[in-house]
Amino acid sequence: MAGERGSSSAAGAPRRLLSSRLGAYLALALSGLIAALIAGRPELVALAAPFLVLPTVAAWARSAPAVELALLPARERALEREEVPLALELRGGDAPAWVELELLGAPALAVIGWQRRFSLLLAAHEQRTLELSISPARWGVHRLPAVRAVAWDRLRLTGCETVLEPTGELRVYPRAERLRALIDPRRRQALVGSRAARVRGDGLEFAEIRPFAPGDRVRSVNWRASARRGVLHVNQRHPERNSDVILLLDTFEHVTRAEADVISHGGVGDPAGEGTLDQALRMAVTLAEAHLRARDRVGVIGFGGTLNWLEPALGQRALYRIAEALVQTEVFFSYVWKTVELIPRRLLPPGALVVALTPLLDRRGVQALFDLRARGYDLAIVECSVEPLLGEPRSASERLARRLWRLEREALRERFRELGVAIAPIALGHPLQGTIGEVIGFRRGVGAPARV
Amino acid sequence: MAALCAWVALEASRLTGVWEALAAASLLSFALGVGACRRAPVQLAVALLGAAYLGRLLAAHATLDLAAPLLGGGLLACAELAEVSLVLRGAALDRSLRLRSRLAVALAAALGGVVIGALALAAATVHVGRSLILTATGSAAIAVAAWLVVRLGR
Repeated sequence: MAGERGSSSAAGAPRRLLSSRLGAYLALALSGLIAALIAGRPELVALAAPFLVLPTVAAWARSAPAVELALLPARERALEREEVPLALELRGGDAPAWVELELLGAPALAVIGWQRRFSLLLAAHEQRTLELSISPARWGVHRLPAVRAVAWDRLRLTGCETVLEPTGELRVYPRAERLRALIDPRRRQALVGSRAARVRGDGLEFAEIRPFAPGDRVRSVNWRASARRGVLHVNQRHPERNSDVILLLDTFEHVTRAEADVISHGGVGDPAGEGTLDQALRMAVTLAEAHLRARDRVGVIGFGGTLNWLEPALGQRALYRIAEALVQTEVFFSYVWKTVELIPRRLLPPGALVVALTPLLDRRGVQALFDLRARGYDLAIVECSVEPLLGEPRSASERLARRLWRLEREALRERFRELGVAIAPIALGHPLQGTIGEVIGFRRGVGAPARV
Repeated sequence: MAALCAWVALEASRLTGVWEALAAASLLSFALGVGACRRAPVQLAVALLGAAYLGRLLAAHATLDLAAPLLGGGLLACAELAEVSLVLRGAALDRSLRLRSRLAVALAAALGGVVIGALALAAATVHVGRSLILTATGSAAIAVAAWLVVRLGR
């Protein structure tokens, strides 16, 4: 995605440093000298004297000059696992210096082509630009790494430390897959789109032939049929209309692989790891991009500890707004019982296809889906399955508990299927098209109410 | 470093087992520091070998040990070379780094230390007022060291 290239830096005040070995040398020298006085052995003076040389030089030598730093990312937006060029500009002081650079923080950004710590020699007043690349492992808003530069003098006795705290951030969007087939909403809306509607009108898909009526256009006349029947007949077609698609994100829970292990075996999990919310966001971005390309209106509702939404809209701008909203999705824990009445009516247009992206773990989220179905919404569920994140059960009781848990979840899925709601899990490591295909297949088999 | 440890241990005439153990501990600590990329064991190794030398002096030598400046210079050279080794490892390097100048400076500092040590030892061989000169020299050196601590601490 395009972004501006600009400086994002706020350098702290330089700080003078001394090499750690100077303290050790002074301690050794003092110990030797005191021992010489106590023991009355001049040899110890000769042993300790060399360790005073470098501290004496350090005391008299001029400190290394500070290095000026600037961190310039090539852009401020990227996709997951995309390489983002990063330029680190250095400007030396009025003396040559041995510069040690270290990239601090930003554990989610992998540095490519360089290690996080490296040293170089900078001549006096030399300006150098280091070209790095960073690659974000996961979506979200990431702070750029801080840069710590220590400029040492030639003898590496005294140095000057400068820490550059970046003020910029990198917005990383979930990577969308290309879908070959989309879930077909059961109802159409009034706007022009890519889907054939059941009504008759101007369009591409042939519907029927009927007798000519005043007002019909001459170019709609089917001359062959008219010649065969002796009366003018016209072609009728299905007009292309769009649909409304609402992506409902269940943000009550976010389970990661580490946390799933905690659920199974106990311990401390890593809340920042890959998990159910990541699956949901990638599917959401994929569906949004595909449906917007098909000229459907797409809206997003984040239903969880907090309620967030984006009204249905068309076009590329809507995709950018959805991507920005998804990047800032977070799970906020809450005990408050929430129902669908809280969702403003304009966010759930009549006839909209509601695609729920949910791990089906929180009762509030599950009950909201049943409520939506009861209100007659066209509902499809994409399950962000927790089961692939769980490790193998380690004991007989765990195996039994796992079986019971699986049976409960299968029973829940069956309840939805009985209501005509397609439900398919996301298979980790497999294309998302497989999940969408399963939903499409179920909906074809169920038999839908007539399209409008 | 191994050569210095061996010299300190093998030159002893009394309680050789103790000095050998200290020298071995010093060598082990030095190897650990360089291998694990840590400065503290290297500095500890220098202190241990210095302690072994002191013990050996007190236990045996009645005459002046003229090799003391060499030991001091050798210890400083080992410490500085270990420092260069630690700096070079654990961080990627730019091709423009010139390492020979660092090595030359480390060895020059050691040589300078040997000269200063030899001068201090020579001052101690003056018979007239020997103890007075020794005390004065040692006190002056302590004063210089303390001044350095204050100056570098600012």
